[in-house]
Amino acid sequence: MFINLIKNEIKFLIASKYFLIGPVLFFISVEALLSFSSNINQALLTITSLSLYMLPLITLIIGTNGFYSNKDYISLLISQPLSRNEIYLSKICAYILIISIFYLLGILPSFIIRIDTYSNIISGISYMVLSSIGLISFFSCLSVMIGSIINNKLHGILAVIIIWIFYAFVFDFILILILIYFKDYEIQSQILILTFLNPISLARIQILFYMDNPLILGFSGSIFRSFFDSSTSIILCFIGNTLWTILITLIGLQNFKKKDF
Amino acid sequence: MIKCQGIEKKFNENIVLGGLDLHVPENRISLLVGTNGCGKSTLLKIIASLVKEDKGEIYFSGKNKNSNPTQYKKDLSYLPQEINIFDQMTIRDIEDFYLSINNTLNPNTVLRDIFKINTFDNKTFSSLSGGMKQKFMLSLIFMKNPKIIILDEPFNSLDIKAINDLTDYLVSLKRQKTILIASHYFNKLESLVDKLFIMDEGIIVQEENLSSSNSDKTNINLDRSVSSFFKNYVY
Repeated sequence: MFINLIKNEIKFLIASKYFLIGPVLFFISVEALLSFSSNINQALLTITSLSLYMLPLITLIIGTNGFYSNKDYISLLISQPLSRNEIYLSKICAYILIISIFYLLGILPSFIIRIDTYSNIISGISYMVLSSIGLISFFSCLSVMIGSIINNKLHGILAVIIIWIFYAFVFDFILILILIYFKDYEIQSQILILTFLNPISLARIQILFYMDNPLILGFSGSIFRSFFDSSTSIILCFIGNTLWTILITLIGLQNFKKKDF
Repeated sequence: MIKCQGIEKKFNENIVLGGLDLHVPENRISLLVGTNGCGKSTLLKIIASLVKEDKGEIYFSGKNKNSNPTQYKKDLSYLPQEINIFDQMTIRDIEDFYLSINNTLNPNTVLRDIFKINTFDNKTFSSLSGGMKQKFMLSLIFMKNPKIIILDEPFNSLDIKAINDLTDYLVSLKRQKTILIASHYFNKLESLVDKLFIMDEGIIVQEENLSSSNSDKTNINLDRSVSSFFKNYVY
């Protein structure tokens, strides 16, 4: 039954032709970067940044919009002999699955065409793809959680945009401000703990440590470097993001169980 | 069959149901009427487990509905008032999905039985007219072959012929299913309703057994019965 629910959810998602815009735009961007960039590592980093910053927004909007658009359908499911857990988790799984597939469709063809040229960076590409799917998982859970907490669609979409801006841009800025404000104190370990609050930072640190590119680790990444070696940082970031994903899923699920339709 | 005890529900600070008691008799057709916004749909949604009650208990065949929610929902079919549900899914997909959840009758048989429609397998739900959507939703409700049927405004968007078809079908289910209907089409239901519940401001203010009067045609006038209670309202 769980599989059937996921299948239906996917049917709803791909029914909208606008959904194809995402992979097409990703494909055009990646193709342009790989065609016109002379430095493959530079191009790969740009693609990584594109994935890290755009995927959360795309996932949040698709997930939240999907939840609100299918509210009547969800209410019908709830009146059937299905548990609310099953319904909720099937939605998350469907979003993760379909957004990941469309992401892969957008990003992989350009690399596959040039497989001979890029054989030396296959592991880097794979790691970027896996981390991006991790990010899609987290933001899928977050989008469904927001949909289940906020009843008004407009407020829900507004909330996800604010969350995205916060995670993608404001968070690191706040960390820098804290560091400047408390420059006379030893607060590196506190900053390290704060970094764990941002899944985008964690994913970025994970990928950049893996690609062994310390120059562009960014502010939070350099703090990690001062505490841990590369492999420990990668493992910690992975655990951090996994815990976030589980926590957000549980909070959303608790809320969904009590939600009125 | 269904017993609601002290059901309370608030949305924000707005009290929708204020300690409502209701006993829907087994294998009888009951009609729930009341003014707009008196809490009928909320009550039906609570019985169908779509809305959580703040206080109170609902018993089904003597057992609390939360003691075995899956079995409870297997035995119950609910028609919501809003039916824009399936969007781009085809009718065949929806039926297959329903069949995978429930042990159901053949959907086309139900459609033929009630509305004399053969099939619209390959059409998408969104391409159907309002009336056709309602007919299809009703066929889904009945194909589940449940013990309890909850219908929220089942005559919405239906033409005269379809209303008569549905009424005839409900008559055929009399004494076989426990049916609770919320509707403003009193005159269409006169011949089949066994019990009438009148609701106002979140509670049942009056209930009447109509089974006996149904046999005596001179006494039947559901419309008058309800209107006499709500003297100030025009239906």
